[in-house]
Amino acid sequence: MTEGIDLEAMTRQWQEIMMDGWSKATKQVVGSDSFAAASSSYMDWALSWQKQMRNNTGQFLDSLEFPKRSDVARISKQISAVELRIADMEDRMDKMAGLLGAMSHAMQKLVEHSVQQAQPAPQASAPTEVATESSQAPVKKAPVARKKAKV
Amino acid sequence: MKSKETVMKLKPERVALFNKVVTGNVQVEIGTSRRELIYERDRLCLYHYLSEQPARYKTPILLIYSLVNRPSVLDLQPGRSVIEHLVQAGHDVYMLDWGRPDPLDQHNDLNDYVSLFIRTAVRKVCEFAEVPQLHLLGYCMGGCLSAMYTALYPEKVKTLTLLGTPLNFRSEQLLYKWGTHPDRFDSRKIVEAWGMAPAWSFDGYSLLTVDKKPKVMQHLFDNLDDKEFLENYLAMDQWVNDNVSMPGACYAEFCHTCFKENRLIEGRLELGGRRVDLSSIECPVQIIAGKSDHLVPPETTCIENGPFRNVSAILAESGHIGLSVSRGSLKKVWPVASQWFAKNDGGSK
Repeated sequence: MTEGIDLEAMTRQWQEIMMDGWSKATKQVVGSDSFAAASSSYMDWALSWQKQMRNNTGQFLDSLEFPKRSDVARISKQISAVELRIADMEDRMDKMAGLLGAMSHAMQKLVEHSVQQAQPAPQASAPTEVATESSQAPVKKAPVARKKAKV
Repeated sequence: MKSKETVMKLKPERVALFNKVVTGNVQVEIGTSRRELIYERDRLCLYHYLSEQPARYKTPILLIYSLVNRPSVLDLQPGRSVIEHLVQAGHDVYMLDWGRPDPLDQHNDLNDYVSLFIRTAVRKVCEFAEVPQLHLLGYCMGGCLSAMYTALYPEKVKTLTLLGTPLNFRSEQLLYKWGTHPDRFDSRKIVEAWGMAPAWSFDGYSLLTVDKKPKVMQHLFDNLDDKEFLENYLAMDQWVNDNVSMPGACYAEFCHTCFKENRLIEGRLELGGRRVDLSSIECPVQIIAGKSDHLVPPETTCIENGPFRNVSAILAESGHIGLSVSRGSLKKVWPVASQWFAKNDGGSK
């Protein structure tokens, strides 16, 4: 009687139909406006209840003159504000260091240029005995700002 | 023969394993690439990924992940890791791990994340690598934060890469219909009630794919004997279920200003009294989006008609998470992205 009927294939087929049905139904439900409205209202209700609990706990701790979590978190926020100002200052210092480096470089170029200008042009005749002090003095290079990585 | 196979599949030990897997009682190790901690601030950690070979490229890459999940998705398993791929391609890779914020962090807002945490991380990486600039790579919400940072502090950013990052929060996808509705899902109410956006509140995302759940379970049951498949499934499942709480101030500000009012793309977002203008970003920008991404659909990523001047785009054949973990992305997307980093490197090491 059952010969020729593939029970396993039928089960598979039934399974596929069920899964497709589930997929279509859930997609329709979750995507509907009424689902969004209902979940939003439920969320509002649950959150207002939780907020009330939170307020009550806060008032209780206040009455005992205990600090609440939010009090400690406020201090943490103030520390972040100080850190933020330090970060601003670090950025400004970076900019200043960059400017100083550029100035130092420009100064060095200027000194080198003026030394070249001050040096007498090479002459074919015998060198003169008298030389100016400035042309013989060793030129001290301006220090170049070097950024050192902190680890 | 077929019936024999079915009987084999229904063996008690197999069914027991299936139960263990779906109830989360089997764990695998994820995020195993070798790394060193170079900076730590409370819960925030900055990691440098180690390589046998010295990096070939001078400019380091800093990865910024979302605040919703753990960043281990970028380094899921050997062979399925963006970080491993980039390191092997010769890049010097760093990652900012936000840790697990708790109620003490509830007042941290977007400005703290952008102007303090990311700014500090960028400075530390530049100091550590002894370079003036770096490549910034942001994933999902981390991409939003990276774009905000680049707009406000462009000096140290050589290039910006936005991976599955929403910038224009207008789409017909369900998440955006819910998130942008003016009278529903008010994020500020969550924060008033909890101080934080609790980790479990992000489980709601699973509703977006609930229609596919039976097919996923069926596929898992059929492939339970495939060791590689099972390991991949467990790694993904472990990561998906590892949501973290988000500081309330940041959550409320992000949902309200970015989702509801779409201020980021419209240039109306202000952080610390400064306007975030994405069109002011001059550095090269790379946008990577997934064609079938239901969380960050391509139209939200500004892959076309975005505010950037110098932009390259990659539209991958994958979903949101597939961008970083699918073998297809690792074969087709990341080699291209890696070459783009190399092209914009400005000299080898």
